[in-house]
Amino acid sequence: MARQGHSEALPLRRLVRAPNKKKLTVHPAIIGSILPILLLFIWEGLSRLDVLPTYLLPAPTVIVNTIIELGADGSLWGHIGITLYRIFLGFLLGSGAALLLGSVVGFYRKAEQFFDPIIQAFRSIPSLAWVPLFILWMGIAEASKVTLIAVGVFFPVYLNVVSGILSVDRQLIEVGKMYGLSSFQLVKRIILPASLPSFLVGLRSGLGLGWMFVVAAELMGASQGLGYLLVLGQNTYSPELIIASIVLFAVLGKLTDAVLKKVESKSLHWQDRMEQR
Amino acid sequence: MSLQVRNVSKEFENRKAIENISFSTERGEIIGILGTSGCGKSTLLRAVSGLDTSYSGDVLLDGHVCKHVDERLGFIFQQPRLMPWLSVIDNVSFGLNDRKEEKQEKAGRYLDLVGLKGNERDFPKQLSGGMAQRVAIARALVTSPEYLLLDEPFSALDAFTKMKLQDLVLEIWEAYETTILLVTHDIEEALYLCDRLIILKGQPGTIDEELFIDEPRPRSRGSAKLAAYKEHILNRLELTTPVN
Repeated sequence: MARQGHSEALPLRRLVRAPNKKKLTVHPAIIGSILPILLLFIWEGLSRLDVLPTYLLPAPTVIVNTIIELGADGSLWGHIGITLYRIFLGFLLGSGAALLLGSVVGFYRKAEQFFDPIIQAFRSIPSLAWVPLFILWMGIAEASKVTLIAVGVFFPVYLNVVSGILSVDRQLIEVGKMYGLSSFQLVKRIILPASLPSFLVGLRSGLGLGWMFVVAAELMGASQGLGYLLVLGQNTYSPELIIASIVLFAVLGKLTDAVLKKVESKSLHWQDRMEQR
Repeated sequence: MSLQVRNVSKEFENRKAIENISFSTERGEIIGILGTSGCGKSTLLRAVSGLDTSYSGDVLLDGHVCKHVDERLGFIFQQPRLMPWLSVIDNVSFGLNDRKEEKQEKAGRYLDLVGLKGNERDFPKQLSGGMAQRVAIARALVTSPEYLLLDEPFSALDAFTKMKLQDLVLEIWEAYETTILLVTHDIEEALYLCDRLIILKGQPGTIDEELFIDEPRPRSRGSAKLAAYKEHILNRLELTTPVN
């Protein structure tokens, strides 16, 4: 109707059309979930039609039921709790040590020459190779698990802290020097905030590795935890239990990462990045 | 109150950048250090600022040798060099050590001066190049320096922004009677702003000529007298065709 009144006015025509177009745009999350949902339905269907062997690959509903049952009898919370506890402690220790050592190595060239070669040497050891040694040293209880996770978390955080500090813009440091800032003030007011983005990237990849190592740690011997459920599922021929704990790992991993991501976007809102445009 | 440079030389590795530079300023003077690229202009300014201390010769502030950064000096760099994680107002108050309210009050006053009232809470990523450089100017002024060192401060800006900020510098100079040392390769900028030009030439850079610009302010950018000065400088620098 508007078109008839303004047959020549092109911009107005656009104005009228624009809302229609907007209705058609689909949220990216919806586009992204089409395929997984479709696959879930196919999986469910094939399981019910007995095309897939259910003793190897049970239907999604069976898996969901398994999780609900675990939750109902209360054992689920114990497993999740102990896994979260291990990863939290390992993450804290690993990233704390990495921040400390990384800062020293980043700030002092001499410390870099002193520490970095040996740290790089240790880094080239696949972290899982430590498992037997840690068990030998610390037994099969919590200490060896937490240590393993901490080792896994340490390296990505350390590397990012060091590179973050080394890549702080020399020009900004000069500004600080021009105002007569002391070394400590330079660190506090320029170097730390400037290397924060890199540190947070390190924390996120460290957390990812932490989840990997908590699985490894719990596979090597535990009486509780999501990794223990994996082993239990394997020993009792219950694939639904294995897949249930895989799903739980995925959900928890995603959730903890989302928390860090939130922290990241809160504290790095000043960054001029592609993502935020 | 004066700034004196006495026989300053600086060597990089085994290449001399500047040799035996001497001059002194008077209170409230605007001095331009002009030269083609590579003649050591910025090197000289860094020596004066105290950011670089590995030079020979002396820099004297108010009669005393000063070989370190000093709060009487303010520096405006070629790039704004704002802290991206600080808001505009916190960037301006970066060099202040007062209580918080006092800092904010002072910073606000200088932001107003550079025409950025209302942008206090913005972050550097939201600013245009000209606005960012205005913030940098406010940051340099907020500590009330007696001497302002400017290192090609407008060379990265478009022509119109550049002219506006040059006028801003003149306003500040009039209001605060700051002694200004301006390093530039822009002859027109030097002629428009400065009382006196020190022309550096050669490698290592030496003082080729000191030129008093005998033209009352406010100057017109198109004045015939300034054009004659420009011609003279171009000849002096052996650039008979105008530089870009």
